[in-house]
Amino acid sequence: MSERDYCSILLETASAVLEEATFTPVAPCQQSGEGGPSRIVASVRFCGKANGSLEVQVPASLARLIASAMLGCDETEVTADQLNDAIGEVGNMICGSLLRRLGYSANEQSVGPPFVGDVEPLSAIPGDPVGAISCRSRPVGKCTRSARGVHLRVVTGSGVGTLSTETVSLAVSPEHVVVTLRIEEPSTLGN
Amino acid sequence: MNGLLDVLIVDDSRIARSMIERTLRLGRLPLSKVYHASNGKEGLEILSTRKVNLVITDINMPVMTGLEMLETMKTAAPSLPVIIVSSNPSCESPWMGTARALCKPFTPESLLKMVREVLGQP
Repeated sequence: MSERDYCSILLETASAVLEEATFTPVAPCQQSGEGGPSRIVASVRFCGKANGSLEVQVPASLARLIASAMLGCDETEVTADQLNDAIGEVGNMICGSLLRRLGYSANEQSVGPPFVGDVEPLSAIPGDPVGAISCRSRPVGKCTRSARGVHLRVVTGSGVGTLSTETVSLAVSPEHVVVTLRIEEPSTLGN
Repeated sequence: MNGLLDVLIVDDSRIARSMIERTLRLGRLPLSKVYHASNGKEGLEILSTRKVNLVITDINMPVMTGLEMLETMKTAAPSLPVIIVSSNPSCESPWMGTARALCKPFTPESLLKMVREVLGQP
């Protein structure tokens, strides 16, 4: 499986999780998502046949929208703990879904609890670019390779909706969720 | 099943527990009490003092995992319906025993369908 294949799977997985968890369509976009406001980061470590981590970075304001959509409450009612819990759960779901799509079972993979914290604006992933990624004919991210392994980055735009008993109403956010997969032993993947 | 439904939700994520409870309430199930536990140990403590009709549990949790809790429940409450809702890579594998399983993220419709199935409701 090529790096591009992994990027496509990561994009599909992250999009599906965000759509199902926040009840709203998610569209790939060209923006890098770097810079801008402070972000909440959830990092999920996995080990076993494949070792690495998955990181989800969400602007704090978008995290509030995501948490309110998941909880079904108003943005103003979301607490700091709920913000962190929501992004941690998103990271957990993306990581589990991704490992399933890559064909790993619980017998050969262990997934740790999400670690969540605040960070300053993103810095670039270290390493040499190895190619742009396209999805639905639009570039959505890039692959880089460094001495520590293969880094796959997918940037998705996100709108967040609120679920009512009968309908879904949508408020589109211009901000972006960044999902980064770090695999320390890429040679073991796909075997 | 007739009458009101008491449910135990076990998950270390509060937001996941809230999402599950909200789904059950939006599904217009005849809910009475919904108990929350953040790990298997807390779940067993609730089960030792409260009667519930359904357990919905995660797998990966600190202190006691969902599978460890289910192992104890095999003898303590063997006929209690259980639904596993987890992002675990093998959440739909047969090694979950008799429990039904649903992978995260789930759609409200899929969870409600499974709840009605395990409770024998139309």
